[in-house]
Amino acid sequence: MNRRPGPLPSQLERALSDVGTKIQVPRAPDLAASVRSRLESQTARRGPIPAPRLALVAAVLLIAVLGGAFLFSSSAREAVAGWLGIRGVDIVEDAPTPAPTHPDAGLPLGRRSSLEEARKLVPFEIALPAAPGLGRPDEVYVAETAYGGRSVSLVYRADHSLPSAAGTGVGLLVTEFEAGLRDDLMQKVRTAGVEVEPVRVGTSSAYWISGEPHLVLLLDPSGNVIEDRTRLAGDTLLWERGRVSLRLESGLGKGRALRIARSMRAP
Amino acid sequence: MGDRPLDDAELIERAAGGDMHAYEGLVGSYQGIAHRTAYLLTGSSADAEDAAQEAFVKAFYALPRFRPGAPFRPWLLKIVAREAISRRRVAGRTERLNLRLTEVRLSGGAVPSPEAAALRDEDRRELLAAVGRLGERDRLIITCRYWLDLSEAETAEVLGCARGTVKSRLSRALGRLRAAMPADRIDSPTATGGGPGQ
Repeated sequence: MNRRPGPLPSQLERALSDVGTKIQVPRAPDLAASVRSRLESQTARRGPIPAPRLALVAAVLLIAVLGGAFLFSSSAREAVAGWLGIRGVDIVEDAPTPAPTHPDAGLPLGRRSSLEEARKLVPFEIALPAAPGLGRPDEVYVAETAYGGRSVSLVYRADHSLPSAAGTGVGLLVTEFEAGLRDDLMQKVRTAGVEVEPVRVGTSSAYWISGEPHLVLLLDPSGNVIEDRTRLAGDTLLWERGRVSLRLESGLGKGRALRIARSMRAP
Repeated sequence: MGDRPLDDAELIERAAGGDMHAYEGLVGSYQGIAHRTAYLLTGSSADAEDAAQEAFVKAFYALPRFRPGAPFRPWLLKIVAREAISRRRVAGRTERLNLRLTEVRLSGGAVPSPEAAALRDEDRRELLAAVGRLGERDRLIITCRYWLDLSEAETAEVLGCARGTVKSRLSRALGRLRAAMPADRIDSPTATGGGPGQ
């Protein structure tokens, strides 16, 4: 056999393409009828099909928010109307706050990873804060989201310049997830004593949520709400960067949280 | 990248609004590639049919979260691949994948393509068997690039990874494939840049 180093594509690649044309694949069945009957039987069981279903969920959330409107400042109430427009993120009022989590118990952020590995695992560029004293996180986690996407969480441990935050027990927690895929719809359940303030990060709409700890909620692809009962979030800044939604939790207060958010860059 | 964007975009929008007839149109257009993908990943026609069907059902419910204007094919195939792989996993099938070649003989008068000339049937069987011995991730990326002819961008979407990492992942998969081949079979040029995987 020849042993000359072939040009791209390699001999192996050409061989693979060739084999691909010769693999025996059974004739594709006609799936339209079976898919339709599956959908119809599921619809009968599960209620309306996607758009109406989502609209219903959104409506329920909106009613829940407006029901608790007396708790909102007027600027927050205005924000609510725009809220459902921010991809993947909602805030609603709900039942009493469960007991806060203990920081020592560890945060349910997914699988421990490294920054390098995480960059390969998520389909978006991971942004890092460029604010002084930050930069590379102490710990990185990658989690599967409700619908097959992935989120990455950057943990900065508490130290003299980063106070430990109420909800997380760490100095700074940044979670990034792809809302552009709409795999994730993340909501926070609002309770009495939670302030919601619309702010801006660069040109993007952002929301500063402060006060009492609030629940973190996820929506699965069928529109079912999954409660993340494992922890409560403290002061949180939520914003979008391209098709990625970011959540920053810290005990730093609004001003510094915003400065950090504005410093975030993808390499 | 985007195949038939206008038609699809319209069908997707209608289907996302609950129009099942529109969705049937999408199923009709994509069932071939969906089934082929599922079969190449499971090696079983029953599993492939189940996985493709389930994927279409899940995709329907996920449509409201489909990014308008994005290419539909890789988005769908990502769901198909996940269904196919998990079906194999749930069934506890850990033995190597058993794909077979069609029995096509070159007739006497046919002029073989350069690839066909370079590759004997025995080589093809060896190569196919070696791919079947690879891990899921390696098989998935090889299936996407060489057997489904997906672009790098489409492959990234199916794999759920950054576009920039497709090349390096592929190069590592090819390295492991070379290592899984009998030494005297496919020549192992280092042209893809990855070299044999460690």
